[in-house]
Amino acid sequence: MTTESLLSIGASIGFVVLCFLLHRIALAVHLLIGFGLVVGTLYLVCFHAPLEEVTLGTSYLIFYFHFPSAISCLTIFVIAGVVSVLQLKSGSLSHDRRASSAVEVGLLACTITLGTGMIWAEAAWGQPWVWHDPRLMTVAIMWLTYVGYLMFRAAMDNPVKRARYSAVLGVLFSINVPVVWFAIRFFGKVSHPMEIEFAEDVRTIMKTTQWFGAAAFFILYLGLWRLRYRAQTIHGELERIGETFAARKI
Amino acid sequence: MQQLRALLTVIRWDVVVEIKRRESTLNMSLFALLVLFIASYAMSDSRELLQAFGPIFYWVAIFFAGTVGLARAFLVEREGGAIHAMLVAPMDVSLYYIGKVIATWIYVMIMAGLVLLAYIVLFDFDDWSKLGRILATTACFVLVYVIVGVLLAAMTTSLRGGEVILRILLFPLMIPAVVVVYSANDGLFKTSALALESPAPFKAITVLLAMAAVYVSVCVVLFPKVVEE
Repeated sequence: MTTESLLSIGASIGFVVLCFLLHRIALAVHLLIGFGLVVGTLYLVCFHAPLEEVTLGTSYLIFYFHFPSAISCLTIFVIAGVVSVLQLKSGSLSHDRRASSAVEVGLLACTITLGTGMIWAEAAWGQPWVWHDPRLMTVAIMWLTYVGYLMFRAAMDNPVKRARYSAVLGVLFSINVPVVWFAIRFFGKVSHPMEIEFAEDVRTIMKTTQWFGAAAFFILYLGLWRLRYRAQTIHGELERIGETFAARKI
Repeated sequence: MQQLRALLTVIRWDVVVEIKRRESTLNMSLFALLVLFIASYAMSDSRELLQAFGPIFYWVAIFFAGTVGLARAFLVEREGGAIHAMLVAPMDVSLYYIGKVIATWIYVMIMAGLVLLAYIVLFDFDDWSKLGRILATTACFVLVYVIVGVLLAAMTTSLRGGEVILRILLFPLMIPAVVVVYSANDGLFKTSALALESPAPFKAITVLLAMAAVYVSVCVVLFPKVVEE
């Protein structure tokens, strides 16, 4: 095993531990750290990341926002799937709130991925959308399925049934994640880059910026997830209080 | 053996109810035939247009009409409260799901057969050697469609605006299957020696069967959670 891969494994483990620790600190601090790191990414992109002069020019810089959102949205949808399994096992409403807030934040990340992807595609391919690109299509499908998930939730009144059915959908839709991940490998590299090739001298700074951005965005999305979870909990409590008052005809 | 008998009972019961009510198959078939009629009329001036776009409308007709039947898959059970009886019956709930999938597959396939007949007449299709592969691809496509559709129908039947929600949930999940069958269109419907030897339909069938296997293994596990009270 090379030193580089050992370092990557170490960094990944460290990052997972950091994410768990972040869940223990106050939400406002968590969000501030997230925003700070995203601003740090912006600084790295503007002042450190060298340009890719051969084919993509400055347009490739959007990659540092596109990739982090893409990797975050896939991870968050996996989390939503796992929490949905837990909901089905326990029947807990708090797990339902966790899963649905994860889907909301994942959908935001997915929308940013599609938006930045289209801007980049316009510059790189001359058109914002191509139907023959498997990853583009699978991400669009994933976006549509999770929009359906939220619409389904909005149509259900009974909170217990809503929680159970949403968990079923959460598990069913998470099948999309490996399909998106392996889309290029399954269908062959069409136009979507698996990774951008850079010259050896600038490779390290590119990779550092790329993964720093990914970590920064993921931490910010985790903070937003916590924020949405808290908002949903408060909303649920208010609904419960309202129902109690209505039952007592106060 | 007892479980197998229970499975056959579910299928027979569903088919008998469908024969007596004649709602799903009739509605689906009429809807699909209307789609084909309108498409064929719109392109009747040009044989090239008919051959180029006909296959697309064949799949579109099955795809959209299928939801009419799926939306009614659990209507009788929900209306009459029979679903509670099914849950306390001495059989595995997953078997009830499989029975429902098979029964729904049967009447969606009846509709697909009628659509194929209409396609042959309206779109001037005369390459009889390809009928077998068209039917096989359709059967596999309908299988994937029904496996996912029955699970989603069980969730959306009792919902306000359930039919629309069913479509919103089902269509994105079915896009990969639609892409697979579209990719096989040339090998299925085009009349040339090259098209006859195209491996695309066989590839499509393999991919559709793999999709069916993945979906059925997930849905069988999830279905008991959908119907539990």
